[in-house]
Amino acid sequence: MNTLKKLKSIDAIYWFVAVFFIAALIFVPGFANLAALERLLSQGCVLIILACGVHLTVLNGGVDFTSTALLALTTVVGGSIMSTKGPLGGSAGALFLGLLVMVLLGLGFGIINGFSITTFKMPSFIVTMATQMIVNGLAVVYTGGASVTGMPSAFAKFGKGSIFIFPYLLIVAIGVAVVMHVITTKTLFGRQLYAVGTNHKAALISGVSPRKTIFKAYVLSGICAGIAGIVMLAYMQSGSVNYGATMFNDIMGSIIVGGTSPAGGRGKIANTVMGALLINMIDSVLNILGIPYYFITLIKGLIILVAASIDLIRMERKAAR
Amino acid sequence: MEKVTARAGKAAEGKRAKELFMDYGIYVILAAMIVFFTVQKPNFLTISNILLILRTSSVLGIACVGMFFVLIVAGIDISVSMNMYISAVVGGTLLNNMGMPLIVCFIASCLCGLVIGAINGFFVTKVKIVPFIVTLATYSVARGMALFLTNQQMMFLDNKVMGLASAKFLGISAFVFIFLAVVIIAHIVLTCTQFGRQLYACGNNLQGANKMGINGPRTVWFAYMICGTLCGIAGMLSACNLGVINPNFSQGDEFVVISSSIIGGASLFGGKGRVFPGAIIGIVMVQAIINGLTMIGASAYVYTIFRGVIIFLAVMVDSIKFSGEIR
Amino acid sequence: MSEIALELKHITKSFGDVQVLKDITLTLKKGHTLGLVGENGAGKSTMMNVLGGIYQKNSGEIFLDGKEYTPASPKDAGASGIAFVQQELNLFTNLSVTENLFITDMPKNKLGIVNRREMRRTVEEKLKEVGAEEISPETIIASLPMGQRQLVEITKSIMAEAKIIIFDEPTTSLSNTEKEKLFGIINKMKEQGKSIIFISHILEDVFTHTDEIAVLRDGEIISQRKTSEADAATIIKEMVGRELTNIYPTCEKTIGEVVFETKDICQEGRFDKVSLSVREGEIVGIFGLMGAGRTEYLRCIFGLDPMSSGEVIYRGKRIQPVEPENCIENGMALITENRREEGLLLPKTLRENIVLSSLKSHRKGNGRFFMNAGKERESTAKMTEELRIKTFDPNEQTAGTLSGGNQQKVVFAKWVLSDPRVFLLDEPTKGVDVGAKYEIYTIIQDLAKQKSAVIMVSSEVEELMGVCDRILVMNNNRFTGELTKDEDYSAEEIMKYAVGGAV
Repeated sequence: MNTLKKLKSIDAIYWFVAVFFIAALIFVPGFANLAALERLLSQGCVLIILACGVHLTVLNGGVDFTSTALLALTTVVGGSIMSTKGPLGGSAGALFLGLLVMVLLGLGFGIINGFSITTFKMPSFIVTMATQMIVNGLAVVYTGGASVTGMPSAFAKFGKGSIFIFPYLLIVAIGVAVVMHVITTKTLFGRQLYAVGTNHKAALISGVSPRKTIFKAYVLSGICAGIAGIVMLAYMQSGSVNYGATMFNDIMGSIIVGGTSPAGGRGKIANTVMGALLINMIDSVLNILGIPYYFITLIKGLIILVAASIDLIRMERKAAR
Repeated sequence: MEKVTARAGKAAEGKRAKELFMDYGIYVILAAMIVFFTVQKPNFLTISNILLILRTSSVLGIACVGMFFVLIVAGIDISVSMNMYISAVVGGTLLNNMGMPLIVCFIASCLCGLVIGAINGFFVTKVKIVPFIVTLATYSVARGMALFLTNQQMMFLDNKVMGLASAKFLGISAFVFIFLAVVIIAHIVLTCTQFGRQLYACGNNLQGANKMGINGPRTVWFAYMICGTLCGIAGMLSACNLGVINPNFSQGDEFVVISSSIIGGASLFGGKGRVFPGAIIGIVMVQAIINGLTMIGASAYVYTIFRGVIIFLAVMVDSIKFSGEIR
Repeated sequence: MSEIALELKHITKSFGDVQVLKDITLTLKKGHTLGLVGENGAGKSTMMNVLGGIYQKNSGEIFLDGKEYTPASPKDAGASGIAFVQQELNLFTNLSVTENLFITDMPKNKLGIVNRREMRRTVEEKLKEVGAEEISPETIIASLPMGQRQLVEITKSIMAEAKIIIFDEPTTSLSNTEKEKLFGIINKMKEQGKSIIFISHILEDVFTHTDEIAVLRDGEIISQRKTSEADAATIIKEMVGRELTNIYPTCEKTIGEVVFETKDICQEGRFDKVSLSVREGEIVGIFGLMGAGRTEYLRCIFGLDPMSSGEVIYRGKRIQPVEPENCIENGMALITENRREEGLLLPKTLRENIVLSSLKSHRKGNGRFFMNAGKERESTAKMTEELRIKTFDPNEQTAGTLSGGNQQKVVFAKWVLSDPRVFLLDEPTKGVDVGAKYEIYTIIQDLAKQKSAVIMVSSEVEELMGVCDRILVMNNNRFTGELTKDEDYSAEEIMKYAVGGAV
């Protein structure tokens, strides 16, 4: 009885992931080999990091579209700084400068988003869509559309290496997820975030400044996008303006499938990570099965709709009880 | 005593100046850009170019009118561009493969748009998901469907469409008249019918509307359906205009439509905006600038950045105005 | 004239497991006014929502003019001749007066085009009926002051040929003259043969303006009798179901020096140099009629609304900037009048609510970032016990599931925990039942005893006279009078200042 209760209290997303994983192992030939699984995990890293960042903004009832464009911008800018073909010739200093600039770019646009949203009270989805376009445009202006190659060997090692069977990139992603988990559950800022997301006015009157809290969420989301850029660059060993172009659905899908309410105030980082894994598995299974990409787009759109519907209907039932 | 009143007078003046800027600032900036283009390229302000601008405005203008309905009920529809795409594909397929008359194709496009609008409306009003998430999802779904139907190929339309595309009346493209007709009908619906006034009521205070006995969800749902239908028309017209449907047909147009509507006086916060003349002013201004940018030879990415900046500015003004408003 | 207009027989209604209406049996005679009184949570609004077609009853029968009546929607209710005047305004600020009045049934031609001229004519007539000829039918609501909006709201209820009009606490946002006007309108309606249900917390109004009084308690009608045969003591006893001997707690305390001051507060279009000072351990009441600027004053000195100039001073130190976060850090606390919207995180647990304004002092050790969950639990347990909040588990139960009185206690717990020295209370007992009211008075007295300075805004003169050491009276955005407890309060004196007629 007690175990049953415990099983019931596990969030639905874990069941989805487990069932889908087992089903894929059994029914999808080519899914169950180590190389494929490792690739799956490495590909998932970028999504996990981006989703964790955006998760914070969704918690306070907003959203951050900019992160996908930042992924592209940071890889081309950071890549061109690090590149052996660049003015710094791929030195160790260039590597560090590149990494720093990537994170700072994320931070900078996070500040712009946060400022516009808190100062002018602009709806976050429009602001971040606008900055997404601007960032994308800037990335193209910067490269002229060409991709950036010639990463230094140290960075290549970081991208391809692993401890035992755990790729470095996965470790970074898990690190980011753990930090975000701790931030949301154990810290002052986390509590403020949930409070503001639940009731903006009550938070303000209780001395929790919604402006500062929301601002910080967008800044953190920007930084996450910068880190995701680093991981992407390390994984692909080249920077391109096309990265992330179709990723926003995956990010939103991960967050919503993980049971986070788009209205704010409710949702767990761990579930978002599971959501990202699920989305990634669906992606690779569909790819293995040879489904054309436009169907994959379509299916992901449906996933968002269905997941959001299920969540809202469940909440309504709970409220009725 | 006098000093105090003088200061108060100045403060009021400052406030009025700010309000004036909020109300007209964006038009001044846009007008300045138009003047700039005129100076740069003398053939910008020629009759033939103006006619061209009006013609290109007309297509997206119809989608803009649809967006007005959704914005008035405090919603948003990001799926407009992909709705245009799939509707055009449906209409085009009927035209090419079955040889249907053009009018039947238009009706089919409308129906296709209506269905997508109805799906959006269903999830927004019945399941109560945030509009931008719903329409973002239907954006993907519609795009996936359209790519599937076209097999990711370009679709060249039958020559029949040239008749409509080149049709003129008094030297002005037929498209412009279709647009004007849509604007006038929409204006009458919005200002002179009970349904129209209820749309504004729902946008102002949906809960209150429900309490008053207005069927709020149904009204909002209708708004999305109207938007979808108009996008269907816009999609088919756009296809006729181009004569071809590319795999990246109307991609990104949702931003042009949203920013034009907001520049034209609609608000993201609902309950505001007049289709006549707002929709016309908004879309013509934005299209004039896009046209001007092309003329001075700006590259595609400048255009992307411009779209980002213009929507940012429009929404910023809208938001600042709204936060000063008491409901 | 003693035909029965409306009859309710054994109505029941439950939400989930909670039975809100147990047995409602009530009759309303034609051309009569029935006063309906009861504590908050007694089931008044549920009952009205059943009548209005918003909720469906579980069992029982309703007869309207002798015919069975089961409204499926608000529209149904309207069509059957039942109209509501709600407590809060339900107007669309972006539409004109005319459009608001006709929003669901505009006269139109075959094409669906609205006949504006006809609408305006009707509206002009109806506005005259209510005595609000000064309002032009074409005005957009956003540009009307609150009092006039209320008149529009009342006009709305008489638009349809209503047979029964239900007034749900219509006087809360009205000034005295507006109130008199309202009762005038009610009497007029009665003369026209309409029947009226008048729901109010203000017994005085109920006694002077109704023919019959019904008392509702815990989802049951306890009594219904002629007003002329009723007396206040009995009615109150029936409302609460128990005798209340001492309504206002007293305690021994010492009042010290002035600790909190607001100097020359100005707000554009409202306040011009309004000052106030409070001593340590003192409870200062602010009385004023609706629109006098009491709530606005509190919000202004707490930094919620903009302040164009002025100083807020605590113990000689100026608080700057005047923003909620900074005010709280300097020991101020504000309890607003609408706790559901501004006081609580309804879907969150009591613990999260109680700790909310003292999050910073519940951090781990001397750290900056991490929260100390154990300490949070301790504080929560302490506060729930101290303020006697009824809950099965403060770490599990969400604030939204509590009753009004308990919710208010959670709001108090939140502040008491963060230990402020200056309390700004805006209608702290609004929407709270009599028993919980007493407990809240006790909490307020305790705060003063522990040397806090308390400023309390209330619409109930009696409450202020019972609780406060000093009462300031506001009229038209400034203080017009001051009374102290030693001089003995008189309600008439307070009211005289409040209407601004005193010199």
